[in-house]
Amino acid sequence: MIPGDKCFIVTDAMLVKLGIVSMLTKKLDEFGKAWQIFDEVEPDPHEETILRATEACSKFQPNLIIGIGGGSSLDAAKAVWFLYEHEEDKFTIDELNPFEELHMGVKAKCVAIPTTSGTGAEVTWAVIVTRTDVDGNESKLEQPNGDVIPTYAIVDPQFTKNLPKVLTAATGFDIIAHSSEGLIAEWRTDFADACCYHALDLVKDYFVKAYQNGEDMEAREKMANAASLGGLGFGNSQVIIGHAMGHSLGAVFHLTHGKAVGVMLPYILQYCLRNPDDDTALKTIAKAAKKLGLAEWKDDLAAASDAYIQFLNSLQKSVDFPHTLEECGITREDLGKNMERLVQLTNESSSITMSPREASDALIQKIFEYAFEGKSIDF
Amino acid sequence: MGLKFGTDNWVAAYIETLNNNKAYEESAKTWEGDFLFIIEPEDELDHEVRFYVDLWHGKARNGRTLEPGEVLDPEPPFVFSGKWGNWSKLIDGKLDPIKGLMTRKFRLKGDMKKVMRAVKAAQNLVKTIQMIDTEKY
Repeated sequence: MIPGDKCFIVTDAMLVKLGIVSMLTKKLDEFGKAWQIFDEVEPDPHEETILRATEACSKFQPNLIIGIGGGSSLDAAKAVWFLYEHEEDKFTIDELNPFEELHMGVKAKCVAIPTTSGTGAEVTWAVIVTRTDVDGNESKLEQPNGDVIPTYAIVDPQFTKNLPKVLTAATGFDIIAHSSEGLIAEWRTDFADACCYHALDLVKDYFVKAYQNGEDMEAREKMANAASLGGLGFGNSQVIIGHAMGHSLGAVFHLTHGKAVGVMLPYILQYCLRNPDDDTALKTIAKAAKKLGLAEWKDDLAAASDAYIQFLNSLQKSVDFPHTLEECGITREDLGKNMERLVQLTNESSSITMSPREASDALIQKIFEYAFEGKSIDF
Repeated sequence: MGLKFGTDNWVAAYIETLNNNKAYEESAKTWEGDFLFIIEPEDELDHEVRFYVDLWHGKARNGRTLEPGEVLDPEPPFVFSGKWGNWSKLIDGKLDPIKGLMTRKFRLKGDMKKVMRAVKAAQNLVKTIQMIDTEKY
């Protein structure tokens, strides 16, 4: 049994309403644990929400913090855990950076229970928090630290059974983005590769099944496992320019994370595959296509990697997922008006530093423009 | 024969290389804040080496090595330090500076809020060292 008798639950109001949180609290009652719920986490949680939750947490003084929900609730729980643990130091979210040892787990342990299959937040070191500046502009802070990986992850597909189709599609594409970007990120390792490959294999076989029939519990289980495996993969190798651009789109246009990184994925992969200085990404994606059975072993690198891109395009159609930024509801005028900020936010993202191919401001802009029109990257 | 790492000539070459590095210039176009680099003795290096660079909006305006015991006034807002063995790997391109920080092979002191919004600039700043023909210790 997980130790701790005073549990602070971080979640969103919808999960309380749907009775999903009560599946947890019934168990806590059964084991005689006290609990309190903070259910105000919104999609892409704002810093102010985290601070309100931390205040409530500090008053309750738990020895277990439980995040239950999608990536937003899990990230919020990780951030609350960090701030609560360092209450006496009066830390802010900015102190949650990858360069310090945080000595977590003294006051409380953290449990993460995902109710979507996508973010892998239950096993990763990243915490994404939305900050609004004095001019009202939003940006997504990427605050990673290995010490805020939850102490325990409970991955149980029963929590994802009622996930709506649109979220099943978006979170499924989040897994693919994590695993594909993780495979070609600069920090890839043999262990990360193994996790990413297997996550992709599971997604190939079960994504459409889970989308078409949410009650197919075998498919739900495999997608839940794929999400955690993808998290373990990219949590070690990191994500790349696709996430940097996706986070920018999320901050500027409020696209959900899965939709933003999923729609950008084919374009940023094509960009990385066309790296004139290094063909490692090309070889890796070509090999992935062959391993996944998307291409023949005899195919050359170009044909095999193209099969991978075609697989993504076809999957987008199968789960009614947008293929262009225009299909995400962004107008050409809005894209143009916000381009400078999109490029700036992309450059500010730490994820861009792990990309196998560098991108200048002009090239980042060009990728956004091609993604708007649905044009294959030819540069 | 390259320039001996951490000497005045080497720092001058570093500044010139940095000022010709378009990738650094673009990623650091809003950066303001000097860096002090500290190389702690290890293996072949038997003394501490320190140099600083004055960084402003994508360019290095100035820089030099520091004498032993010399204290800069004001102190540079950012200090990047690590043992020689890790610096040696960094010079050879075998250790990414950001990965080195995350795995505690290097330490960075300063306003982390600022650094976290400029990771690409910080990476380009340190990776520029790899572009110099360097003679190691």
